[in-house]
Amino acid sequence: MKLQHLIIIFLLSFSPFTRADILLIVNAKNSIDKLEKKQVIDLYMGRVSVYPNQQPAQIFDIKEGSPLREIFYRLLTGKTEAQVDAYWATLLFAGKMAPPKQLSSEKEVIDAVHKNPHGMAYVRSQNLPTTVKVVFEISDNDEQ
Amino acid sequence: MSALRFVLFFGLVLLSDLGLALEWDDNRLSAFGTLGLVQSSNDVLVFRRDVTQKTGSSDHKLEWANDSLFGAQLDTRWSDQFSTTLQLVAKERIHQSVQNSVEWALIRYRPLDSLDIRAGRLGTDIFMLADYRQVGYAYAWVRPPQEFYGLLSFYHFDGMDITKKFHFDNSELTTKIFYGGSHETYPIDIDAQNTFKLAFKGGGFTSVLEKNNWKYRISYADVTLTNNNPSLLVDGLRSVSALYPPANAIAQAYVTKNQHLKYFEAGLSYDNNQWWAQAEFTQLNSDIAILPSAQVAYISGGWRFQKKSVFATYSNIRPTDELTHYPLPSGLPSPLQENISALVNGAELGVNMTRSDQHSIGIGLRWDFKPKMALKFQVDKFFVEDFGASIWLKKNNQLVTTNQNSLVSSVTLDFVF
Repeated sequence: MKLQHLIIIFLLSFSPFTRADILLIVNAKNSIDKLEKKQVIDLYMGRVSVYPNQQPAQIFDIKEGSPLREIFYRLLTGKTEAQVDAYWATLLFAGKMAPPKQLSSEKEVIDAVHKNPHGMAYVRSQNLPTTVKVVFEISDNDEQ
Repeated sequence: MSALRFVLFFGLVLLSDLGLALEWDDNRLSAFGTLGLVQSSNDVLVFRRDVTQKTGSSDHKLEWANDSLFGAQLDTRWSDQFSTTLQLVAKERIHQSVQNSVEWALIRYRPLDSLDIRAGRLGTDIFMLADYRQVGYAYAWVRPPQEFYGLLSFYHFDGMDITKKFHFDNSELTTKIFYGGSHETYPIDIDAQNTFKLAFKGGGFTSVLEKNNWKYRISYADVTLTNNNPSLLVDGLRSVSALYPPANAIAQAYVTKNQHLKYFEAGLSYDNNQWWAQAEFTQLNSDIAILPSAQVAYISGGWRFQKKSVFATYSNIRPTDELTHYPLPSGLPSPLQENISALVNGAELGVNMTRSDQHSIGIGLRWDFKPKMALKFQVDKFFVEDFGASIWLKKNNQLVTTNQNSLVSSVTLDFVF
């Protein structure tokens, strides 16, 4: 490999866009293009139930016990899965807000976001169909 | 109860008239539960979680009924704005029935994201854990501090509330106002051979500010009691009031109807995911001698590591007023003087026995050994003052007026799904 290529690859490895571990995706038709970290946290923790443009949000989660879910919440909020589940119990069983719907696999959540114009989900970095788009990225460097 | 039924029926008719197709996806069934065992060392006081319970542990007897329960909830999303929640909780109760098992039955209307209007059977939010006190999985302790949540055992009310959220740059303010009515039956003795009913009507507000890792809350409620309980003592006192006028005022101590109770609560919590601390303080002001004014507070903190959490708690309840002393009659002929004195002494004892005056310290461990399940161990030492044991039942229904201690050990398995 030429030296220039090596240097480029070396420099690119510092770019945030090649080190994203988790992608937040919404339906391609959603008018939102980008979300900030606080907005993602508010949506996944039930503090808001709409996107910043006031459109309803249908949030999807991965089934508990999955490594992706554990990493997602740890990087996004600093909480363990048990803490997140306990937090949701205080809202769900108080009749205030229901937690995001849990699906069994990344394939299922991608499919759910593809089918639901209001959907949002998180998946590992991967090639995605054109019917969904990325609005936020979390990388390992973002540890709370 | 009929007002609740009307609201629910009307709401469901309205929703079905809107012709909304309901799929199973829009229904969510969830559940929570606790299997618990508790053991209290004191041999005259009977430990219970709160004053609605008719049984408990004393003299090292193992008791499961205080902390064990199972709750099931159905949430239905009818549209982006309308949803309903129905929750039933099965646990030890004085009167078991499906109706009594309904904890929440509400319709929620969310016209904007930050505005929620709910009607039906609801929680009040007037204490930090008020709306999820039965969901052990949601908190670290085996049970919410007994001094605080044991006496203030207000589970739900029938009425409505409005909640508004204000989002700021790095904080969020949630304010709720509520109004409605409720009633509860309390056991006077073990197994509820005798009971005491209180019916309330009133309203209040709660305000919670969340900023970074902190939560600040205040709440206020003002309720009017809408019933009296029949009492031979009161009848007796009124009947002798011509001969001994102070008897009328003494009888008044037992009157609850149209009297006011006011709660003021302030709370604080901090959680940085590694360690947490929480404290609440309530001032209870009462016009009613047999529901005495009190100050209640607790402070608790814990440390999380791996899947475990260790915590410690101090809590305290103290009556605002000194012990009651009624003047005895004098100069009346026997046996009238002795009979009236007996009534007055009985009334005085009755009032003083409604006091809660105790504090406790506890430590415990929570272990999240599996997703959505937790095992907890807790040990508490209770110090109950003279005439301060109203949160406890009395073994063999004996009179206990002297100070007492008890060591209470508990283990629970909590789960949600």
